[in-house]
Amino acid sequence: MNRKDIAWGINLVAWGYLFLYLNLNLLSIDVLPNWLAYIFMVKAIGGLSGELPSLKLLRPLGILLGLWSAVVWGLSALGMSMEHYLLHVLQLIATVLEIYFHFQLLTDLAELAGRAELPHRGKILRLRTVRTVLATVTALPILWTGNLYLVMALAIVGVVVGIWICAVLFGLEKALKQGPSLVEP
Amino acid sequence: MTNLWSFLLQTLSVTLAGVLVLTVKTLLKDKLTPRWQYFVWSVLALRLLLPVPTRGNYVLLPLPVWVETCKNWVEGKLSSAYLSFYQAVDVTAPIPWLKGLPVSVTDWLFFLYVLGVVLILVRYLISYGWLRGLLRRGVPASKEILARVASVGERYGLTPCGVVVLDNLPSPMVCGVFRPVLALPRGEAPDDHVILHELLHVKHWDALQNVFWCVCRALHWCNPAVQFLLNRVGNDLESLCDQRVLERLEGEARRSYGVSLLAMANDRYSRAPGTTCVSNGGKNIARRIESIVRFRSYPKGMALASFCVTVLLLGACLMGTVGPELAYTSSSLGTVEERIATGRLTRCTTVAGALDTYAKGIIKGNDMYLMMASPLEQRNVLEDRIRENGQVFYFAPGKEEVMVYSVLNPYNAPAEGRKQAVEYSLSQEEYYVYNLDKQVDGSYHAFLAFLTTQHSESTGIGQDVLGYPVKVYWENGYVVEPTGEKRLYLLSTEEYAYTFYAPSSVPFLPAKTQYYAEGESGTVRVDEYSLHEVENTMETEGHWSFGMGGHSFDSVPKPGAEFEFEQESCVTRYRFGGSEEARQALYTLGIESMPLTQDTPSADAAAFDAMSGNASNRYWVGSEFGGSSNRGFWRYLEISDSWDGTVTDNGSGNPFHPENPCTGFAVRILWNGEEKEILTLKEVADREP
Repeated sequence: MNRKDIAWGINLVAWGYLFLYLNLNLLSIDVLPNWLAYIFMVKAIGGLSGELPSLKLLRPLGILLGLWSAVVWGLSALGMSMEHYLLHVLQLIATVLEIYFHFQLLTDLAELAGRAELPHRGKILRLRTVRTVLATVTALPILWTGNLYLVMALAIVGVVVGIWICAVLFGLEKALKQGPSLVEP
Repeated sequence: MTNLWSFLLQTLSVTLAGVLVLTVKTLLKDKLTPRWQYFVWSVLALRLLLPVPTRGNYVLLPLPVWVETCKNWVEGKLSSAYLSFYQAVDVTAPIPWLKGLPVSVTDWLFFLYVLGVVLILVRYLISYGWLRGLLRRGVPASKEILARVASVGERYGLTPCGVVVLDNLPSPMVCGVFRPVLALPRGEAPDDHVILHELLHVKHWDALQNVFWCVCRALHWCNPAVQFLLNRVGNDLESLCDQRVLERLEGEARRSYGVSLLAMANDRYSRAPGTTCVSNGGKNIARRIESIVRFRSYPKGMALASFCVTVLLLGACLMGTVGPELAYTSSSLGTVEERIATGRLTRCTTVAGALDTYAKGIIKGNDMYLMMASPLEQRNVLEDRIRENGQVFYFAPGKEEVMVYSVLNPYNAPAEGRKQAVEYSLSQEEYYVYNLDKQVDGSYHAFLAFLTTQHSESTGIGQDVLGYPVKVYWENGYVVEPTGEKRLYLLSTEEYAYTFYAPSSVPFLPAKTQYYAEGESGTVRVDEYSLHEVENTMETEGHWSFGMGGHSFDSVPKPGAEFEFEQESCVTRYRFGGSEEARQALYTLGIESMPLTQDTPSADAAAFDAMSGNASNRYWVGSEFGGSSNRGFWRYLEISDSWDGTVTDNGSGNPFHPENPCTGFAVRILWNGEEKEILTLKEVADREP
């Protein structure tokens, strides 16, 4: 694969994360829906798996997560409540898959940065770790979630990490376009 | 588990946890290694070991409500020896226990279940004993075989074990937890990879884990779903061992390991406790070969992700995912029996939660809410009423006898009350908890007050207060019990509409504590009050409209609530006791009150002088009042000819200080700005009404 193709794939992933972390609601409709983020990411996976075969494993998960995001988005747009036991169970499974999906995706993108001998590798891995731990902690049914200040602090940190990931990925894309070819594993 | 329903609840919860784990494993089967695929079964293991919670969050689905509902339907016509009809289902231990001889049909079913557990465990013991006997009678392995086993052990850093050769053994196996013996089929030259596989089982105590899983099988013998899950656990244990073997082999040796497994693809194998067997059936061998082929394809560096996924599953399966409020909010309507089940199962975990739940039950006329916060005796009555009405809502029976008090001046105690039949509704959705007081026995006394505008004595102006004393105590959760008759305080008159706002308007309510002293200048009484509130303000739709937010009362009970607002206030009442000449000479009178604590058991003039704001005001000819930062408060009154000889000072509310409570009061009396005397007030045992 040439550098431009890889950069294009990373660009798609970066836009995907931007859609994931930013929400813009017009009445009850999110015009930056998460399901669109997963469409970008699945497309990127298709393009990048030539360079990193293990990425192919994420495609089914990406499709599932995209479908679930679309269901949630649709329910929200229709003003319907998510408060049902079965929806809670499905949300739990989706959260588990999300944690794995994004962990492996960012690990593989860091691998690509490493092969291009770019400094972004370390940043992506660190952000990946923080993101994963944060997502796990906030998803746990712990009693402290009743503490408003703690919840707000975690939410702010989560958004900062998300925007930072986007910035690093866009930076990686730019560096890939300009830099040398990737080193073979 | 002491009855059929607790067993059903436990086994269904285990099934649910297992299905969740299996679903996630299936979705991640080609992404996470066999090591994680087996390790994640620890979620199931913990769920098997721990009794399923019936309070707090529900594990994935509201199984306790559903099982309790079924129990209500079935046990209503039976008389079980193992449970009480009105007692909610509960799992105290993951193992069954018989409390006596069975009486009802459900008792007999439970008895048969326990019998099955015992028989299966006995069967396991017998089969293990038979296997050990067989091994003792087996032919000791030849020197060549022993040397081969020792060589494999030495090559891979594993401790070899005893080896015997048996006739008609389908495939090699290890038997024994603390003294393992490797049994090999007679006539076949042992494959080094198979020996390695079995020695790895010994190293990682897989036989002991097998014992645990076999005991779980016995405990859930009648649940085919759990049997299926445990079969998968066994297979994953073998796959994990395969991975350990592959990690020690290289190149062509890995391929030949797969070939060795294929050669053992038959369906005869042992699932006896305390054993491990390299072959676990033809179909399972095929799955293991797939894993072997994928050995190098698993993504690397996924340890943290595997751990986080497991932690999340653990949290969900052990701590629950859904709060019980879903079961009793109007958005999840259920049958009457489901509502009763919810009322039985939901217990209030805090004093504030119990008062909040009880108060909302009174306000909304909801028997299910009342059940959640009522003692067992009262719950039974409420249950019967729900069944009789066919719904959780009850309607007050017309007029009710209450004590009615006319409050002519909200800053004073009301006039004497009269018993009267009054029809009322709690149209204002608000309640207040006054005078919450912890008792020596750990219970709490309080006065629960509701606002009402609709009652047969209403003038139609303003609000009135209906309330009564309650006791809150622990009975498998905090419960509320009324301890006195209802009182209706009429605050609104035709002269003025009084707006009730807590806490300074409480002087007409009974005090929490009274302090009293007599002196030369007169008598002083201080009435202490406290107010506790749970935050129940909810923003309504359209709150974004230019900040003119709409708010409403959150009528959903919060059984685990904490008080968001705690405030105390005091009312000081002074009655002049001097001579008529002294009375005539008075033009100002001041009373300054200061609470005493264990740290400050008395107060002198200097302490009063230090109270902020009073130094300049005490000589001022005019009515003035205020409070200071040390919880004290003061009032200076200009005396007129028509003065009735009393001064009342409503101390402004101060934040609660439970860590430094009042032990008394010091009150300084000032006549014409000069200190007359300082009185130390002590608590009164027999209070004035």
